Amino acid sequence: MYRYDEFDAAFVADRAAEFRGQVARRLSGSLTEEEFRPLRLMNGVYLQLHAYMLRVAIPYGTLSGAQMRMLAHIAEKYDRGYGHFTTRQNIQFNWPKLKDVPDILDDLASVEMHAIQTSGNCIRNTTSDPFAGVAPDEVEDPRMTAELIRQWSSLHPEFTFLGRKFKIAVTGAEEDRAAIKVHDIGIQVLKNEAGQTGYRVLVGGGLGRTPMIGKVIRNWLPKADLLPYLEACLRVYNLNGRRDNKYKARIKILVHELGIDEYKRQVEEAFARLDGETIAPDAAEVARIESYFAPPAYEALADESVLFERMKREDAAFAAWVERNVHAHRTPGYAVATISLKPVGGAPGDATAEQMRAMAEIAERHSMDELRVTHEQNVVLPNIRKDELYAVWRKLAAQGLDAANKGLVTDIIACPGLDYCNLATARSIPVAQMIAERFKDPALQQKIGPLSIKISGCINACGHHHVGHIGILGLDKAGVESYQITLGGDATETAAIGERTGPGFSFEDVTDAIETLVATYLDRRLAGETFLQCYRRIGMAEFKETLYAAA
Amino acid sequence: MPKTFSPAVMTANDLLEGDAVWWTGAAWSRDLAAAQVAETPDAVEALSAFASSAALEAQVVGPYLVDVTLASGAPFPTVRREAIRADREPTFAYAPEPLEKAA
Repeated sequence: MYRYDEFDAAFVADRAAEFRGQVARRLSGSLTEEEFRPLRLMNGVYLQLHAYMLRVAIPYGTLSGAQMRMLAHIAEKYDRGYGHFTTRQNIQFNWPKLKDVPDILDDLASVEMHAIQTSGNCIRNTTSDPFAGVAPDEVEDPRMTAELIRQWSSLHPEFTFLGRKFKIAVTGAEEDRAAIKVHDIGIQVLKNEAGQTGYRVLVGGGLGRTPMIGKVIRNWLPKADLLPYLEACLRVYNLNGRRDNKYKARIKILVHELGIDEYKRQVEEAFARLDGETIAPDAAEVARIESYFAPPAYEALADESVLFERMKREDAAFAAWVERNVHAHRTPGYAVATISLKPVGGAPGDATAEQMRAMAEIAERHSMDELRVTHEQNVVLPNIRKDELYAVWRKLAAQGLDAANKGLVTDIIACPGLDYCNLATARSIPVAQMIAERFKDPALQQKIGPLSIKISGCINACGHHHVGHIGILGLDKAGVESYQITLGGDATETAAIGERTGPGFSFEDVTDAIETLVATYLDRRLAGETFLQCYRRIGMAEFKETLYAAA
Repeated sequence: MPKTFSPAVMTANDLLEGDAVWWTGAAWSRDLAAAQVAETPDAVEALSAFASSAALEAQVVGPYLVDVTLASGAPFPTVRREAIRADREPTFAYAPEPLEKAA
């Protein structure tokens, strides 16, 4: 894992001290709320319906056991005993008091964490593949690139006051688990025919009220050119992106209005004028970063574990969990496990302090002290010996963390919605809970197979509804919650924006609507066909017909 | 069509703690039932002017007026968002250590 150098440590400590001073000045009256608001947002402090909210950065979703323990400590000491993992691989605390936030930031700094770049119109926390470093299909660990971007973007003087927020995601694999096509900039690490490592760069993707799939600006970018090229991309956006209308200020609108060819022409021109060598990191710094992401000391193991195979045969519940939540590891004898934070009856992405401590303990003992947060609001144990998987599963089960539903209908992504959020127009989490309850039978979930339902409580789309196989968008229609449904969305390398079925459904009726859609799929699917494949084959018409037949 | 008149209360979030609070006429309360209700257009206008006064900044963040109905005797918000705020918690079981409400 990346470790802070003196600069990083001083930077984070200084920011915490600076914010302590800013809070004191707000409380003494020397800063007005209007003056204070942008300062608190720069430190991840929002004001929601019931309370302040603190969003803590988890750079590229990687956490150590000690860091997870600190999150548990914060949840218990300053909050109501839990935290909420978000769709951007961060964690939010929903009940901190402003007077306590400086102490929380100090606690975070003590384990090399902070809340910087989690809000405001800056380059946000760079996200990545939760299987980074362990995926069999990976060209290179994308977190090295993500960390380079973090160092370049934190405090970048030219890009601290962009027209709007700016989100970058990096994957190092062909299978896209980082949703790079729906980010302002998406980066894929790849190899060319000569065997060199470089990047494919996409721009102008995004969700929100104008969802767009990113467009390729460079199919090949030499590795050393990354930061200068990003600088050129950002510069063209910063100079030419709209600032007259907040809803048209994201880079996707600029790329859309200019066209990718013209945007690319301007970027290439800016890139040619840049003094790349002054922007690109020096080789020693790159080597320092790379050394932190060197693979841990794996043991030489046989790929097959006798104990693991036996426990799968003897314990059907374990076998079911393995089937859904355990993934291949690039190293023989090891596996990757997803801890589902989607138990039926829970709030998607929430974990209690006790559960966080259990995950930390398991990571320390069984996963080489590493955890990952996923944009699907789950947690990953990346380095488990296959012969320890059964013991890990038992420990997870003792904490209610053993839901065997990764990628299934109950693995629902949901934003906080109107239960917490100032921007929301409808509730999300209770809708997720109703749907999960309806489909709670494990046999039914298995029968349905891979199906991603994503729910947003407003047009800003934090729940990524546009890229759910089934997307649900909660709106307010004359004081009544109304849920619009989209079908066919996809956040992966075959990314697509979902298509609206038609009129929305009430809070009371939306679960029935989802059940009708699933029934239509089960009725119409060919052998082995997933929901998304079936939708792509038969299209909207039949789904729409059954969905609105009763209406 | 002109908006039908609705009684209103003033709400905000507590500066130090972030809690939703309502103006009682003399202080900020965490209980909507204790709120001062402006029951006439003139009273609503006066409360609205008060909500934008800078003096409130020392105690709360973002004061604004909320329409309420008095149908049940006590003020109750006419929109769901404000009803959820008035309840001071999400609408589902959410925390190991939920808010302790006075009986």
